[in-house]
Amino acid sequence: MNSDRPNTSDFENEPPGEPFEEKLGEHPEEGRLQAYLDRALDPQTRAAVQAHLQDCESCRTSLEALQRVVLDLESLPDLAPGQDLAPLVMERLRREQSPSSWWFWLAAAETAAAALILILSAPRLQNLFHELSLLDLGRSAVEQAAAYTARLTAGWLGWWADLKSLAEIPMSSYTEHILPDFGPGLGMILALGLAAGMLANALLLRGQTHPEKN
Amino acid sequence: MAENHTADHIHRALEGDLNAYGELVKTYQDSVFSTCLRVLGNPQDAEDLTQEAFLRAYHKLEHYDPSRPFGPWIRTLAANLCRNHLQGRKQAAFSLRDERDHSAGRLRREPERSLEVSEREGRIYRALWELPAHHRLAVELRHFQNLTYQEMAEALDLPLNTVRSHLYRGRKKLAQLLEEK
Repeated sequence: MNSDRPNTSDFENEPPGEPFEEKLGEHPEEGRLQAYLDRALDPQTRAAVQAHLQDCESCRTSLEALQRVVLDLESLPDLAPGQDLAPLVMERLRREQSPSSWWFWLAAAETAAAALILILSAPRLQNLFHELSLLDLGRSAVEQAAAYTARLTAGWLGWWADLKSLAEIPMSSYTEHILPDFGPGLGMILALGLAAGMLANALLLRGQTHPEKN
Repeated sequence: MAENHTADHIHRALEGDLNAYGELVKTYQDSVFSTCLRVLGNPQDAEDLTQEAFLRAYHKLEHYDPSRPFGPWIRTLAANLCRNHLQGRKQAAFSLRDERDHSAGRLRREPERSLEVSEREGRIYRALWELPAHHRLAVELRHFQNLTYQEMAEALDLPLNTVRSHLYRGRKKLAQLLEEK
């Protein structure tokens, strides 16, 4: 039998339940006998049930039957599984953490693709950062934020227009015209996407290799 | 002494030492398997759910309160997994699928031979497996994991009075079955 199996003992912090209202000579309700067995009654109710048990053979018999069940159950030994499960559990945990898992390669491919697109759009990003650096430090933060938002919105709209025009442009023109001509918003989106992707990948890796921290 | 080792293994496992977690599995696998077997009555399912319980426990290790014993914590987690497993199969008692499962069927008929336990212990297992699953779970949490009524209600996500009632009915039925056998 496993030595750490707990013994039946008094409950701690158990709600007292409803007050013992049975009149003298009446049998305690069945649930109360169980609570008596589990020592889950407040002292006053426990004393009342105990007094009743001294005079009532029927309740004593019911209680003894419940006590025999407790003894029977507690006599059951722990049984071993058909095989040692430790190597199986560890193997599954190692597989979860293994960099050869499919999610690792998926994350790596995603990061590589994002990095390639970022490199290809580097000239546009450079222009964007150049524009941002021209922000007028003399203006208020609200005005600067408004100007920045306007530029970003224009970039988004330009990017959306570029996307819509993709379907109409022959593939041969794509590399010559489209890539170098992305709107500045796309560069920002790609940069944010790349950063978010890398962060997500890092969290994914961490979640797979360590017990959760939350 | 065993609890000191357990605390040390948990500490090392939290730092990423898988071998330390393997030691924990070795220490507690029998008691967790026994919990699953008592609730499920099927050794193969019990082994699967035992593994699952240790995997879940590994990922929840930071939630474990080291001031309390590890055994009841992981066995309660395992009992809950067994409950979900049974609910997933929409069965209050054992299903027809189980009856077709030869080894599980034989186990429930003759636990003495399948589990190599005494005749008396075999009678207790048989009686346990005749209980409806929710009564069996209440008995498991109270008698084997020593949870209070309140803790049982929280573990099973049931009202306190429902848990008391399940426990009482389970015990009463067990007393009746053990008298008969």
